[in-house]
Amino acid sequence: MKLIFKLAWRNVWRNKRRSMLTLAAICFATFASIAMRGMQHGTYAINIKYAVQLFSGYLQIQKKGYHNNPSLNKAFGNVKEIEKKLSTLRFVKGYAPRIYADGLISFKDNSFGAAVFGINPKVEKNVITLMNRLKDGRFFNSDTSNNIVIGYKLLENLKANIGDEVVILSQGADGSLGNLKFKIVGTLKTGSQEFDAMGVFMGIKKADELLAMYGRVHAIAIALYNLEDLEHAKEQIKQSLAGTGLTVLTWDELMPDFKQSIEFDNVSGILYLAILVIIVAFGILNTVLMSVTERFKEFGITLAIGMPQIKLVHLVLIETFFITIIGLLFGNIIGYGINSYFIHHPIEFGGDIAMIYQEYGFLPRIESSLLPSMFFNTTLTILAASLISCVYPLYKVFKLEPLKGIRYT
Amino acid sequence: MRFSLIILFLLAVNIIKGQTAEKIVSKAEEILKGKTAHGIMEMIIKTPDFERTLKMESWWVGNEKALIVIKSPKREAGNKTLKIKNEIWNYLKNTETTIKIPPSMMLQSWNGSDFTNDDLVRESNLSKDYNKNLIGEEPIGGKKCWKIELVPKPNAPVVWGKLYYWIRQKDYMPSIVQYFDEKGNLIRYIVYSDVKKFGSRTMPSVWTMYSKTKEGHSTTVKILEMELDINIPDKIFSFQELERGN
Repeated sequence: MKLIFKLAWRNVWRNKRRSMLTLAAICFATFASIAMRGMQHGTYAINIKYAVQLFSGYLQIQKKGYHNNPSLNKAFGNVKEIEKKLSTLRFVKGYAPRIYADGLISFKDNSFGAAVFGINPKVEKNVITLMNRLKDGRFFNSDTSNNIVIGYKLLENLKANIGDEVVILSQGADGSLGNLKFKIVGTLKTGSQEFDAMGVFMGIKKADELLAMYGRVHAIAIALYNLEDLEHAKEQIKQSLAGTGLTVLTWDELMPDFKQSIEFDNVSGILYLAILVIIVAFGILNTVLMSVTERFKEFGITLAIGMPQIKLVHLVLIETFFITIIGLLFGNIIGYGINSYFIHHPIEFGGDIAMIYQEYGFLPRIESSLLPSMFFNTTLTILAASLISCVYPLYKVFKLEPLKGIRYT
Repeated sequence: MRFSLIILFLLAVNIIKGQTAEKIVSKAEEILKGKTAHGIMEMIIKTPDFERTLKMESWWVGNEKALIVIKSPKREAGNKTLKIKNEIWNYLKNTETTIKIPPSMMLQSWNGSDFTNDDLVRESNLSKDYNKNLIGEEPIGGKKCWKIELVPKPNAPVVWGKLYYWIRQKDYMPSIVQYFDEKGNLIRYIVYSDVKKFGSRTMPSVWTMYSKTKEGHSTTVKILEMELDINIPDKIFSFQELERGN
């Protein structure tokens, strides 16, 4: 057995140039796909964080069925109890109760549909970054005042200014027509159409009054310290909610569109990689086939003097394996280097590209990641491709007859 | 000759029958409405999620004008609904805003109840918009009633496919009205009960509308006080009055 390894190792370096070229191809494929996957994963991670922290939160507790078919009455009480439970979980960074509703906002003769969000800025600080997206004015800081912050486009549409008094109407949970006066103290610019053209943020106590919720809320948004804890957190929270008729939704369930655009991008990335790997596989096939046919004479002789056929096959397989392993090793090292570089120096876009990105709700920057699973998967894929690509040459070796081999030119 | 007489006779019977159905319905409606009315009523709105009770005062002048002022609960006290011909305005006290209900919202619920804005506006244009047929006699709660089918006249601006109206034979008291859509599904029905005397007039004092489309939703109107055919000053139905808040 040892002899075979020795033989294989020497065979690899019998034709230095060819082996180096194959090695380079494998190495290139490895670090290229690691760099690409790294950029994808890294960019997804920051985008998810960015989108999640803007408003939705990593998780939300809601009444079952609210998300698919929202209605004012699918609300729940006992907020304090649930919050107490949440405060004992160590991976939870913060939580905030919310009221969601549709309404009508009117100023003088202009009325527009509004998405009303009742929030408590004091606790939302630990959950979302929305308050930092002010365009003008300020954010209200008490949840009982009649100050509101609205989307900047909505302000334009209303032809109102900061400081103006508006009326908000909304059908309450008991069917009555809630109507209150509010003062606009600030505007938001988030890049999300829903918030910019329809969003009205008010104190949760005021929203409660407007909508006759009597202390019930529609959601509790939860922020985590780490995105990796998501599934774990979901399970834990789900257990603590057992039997309450409430459920917990993760960010991807809350923002399916966003999730889908990420998945689409991911799949297109995988396709690119598949093409790259196929090209490399043909390169390996070529190398192995060449080196095998070149040595038919030699193989014929070894067979004639009693080498078992299967050993010969092993030999060629081990040769390929050596080349692949060395290529993968270098590829991984270079890939790691590239990814680390981009983690420390992310690419920032400007100008038009940035605008396009923002329109789709993505951050205009590219980061990278050093997910172990990514290195692992890439290595495995390329290893598998190289082993599959030497099936045909191996078959030829296996079928070789000693005399045919000797007379092969 | 004899044959044509028979036909004439049959036609005549039909006309009389039609007329009687017409008469019965208009008498029943007269009981509910009078020419003018002023009353205090309670509205109890029940849904699976909540139950709330409104107290309100209202003035009606035939089908032309109406004003409803909510007295309690505090949250809604002072809100008013004004109807002139077939237009409706809601005045909201909190924000001192007046909203005109657009035609597109006519079929939406009035204040979360099972009555629609449309009910307030064209309520009982039964006489004008429907053809009536006496189709049978059935007892309701042990009292003999006529069952009358009301089918909208072509081009009548109504939303129902047909109505069934049960009216007590003894005193023309309205008993039940069923509302069907164009496909013939029962959408909702109203039950009139608890006949009481208000001054010189006798009328059902409890009206309950049950929804068949929304499970467990019903709205009951209880009439606490009612005066019919009194003189109501016209200025009640004006915007100055509406927006005067009280």
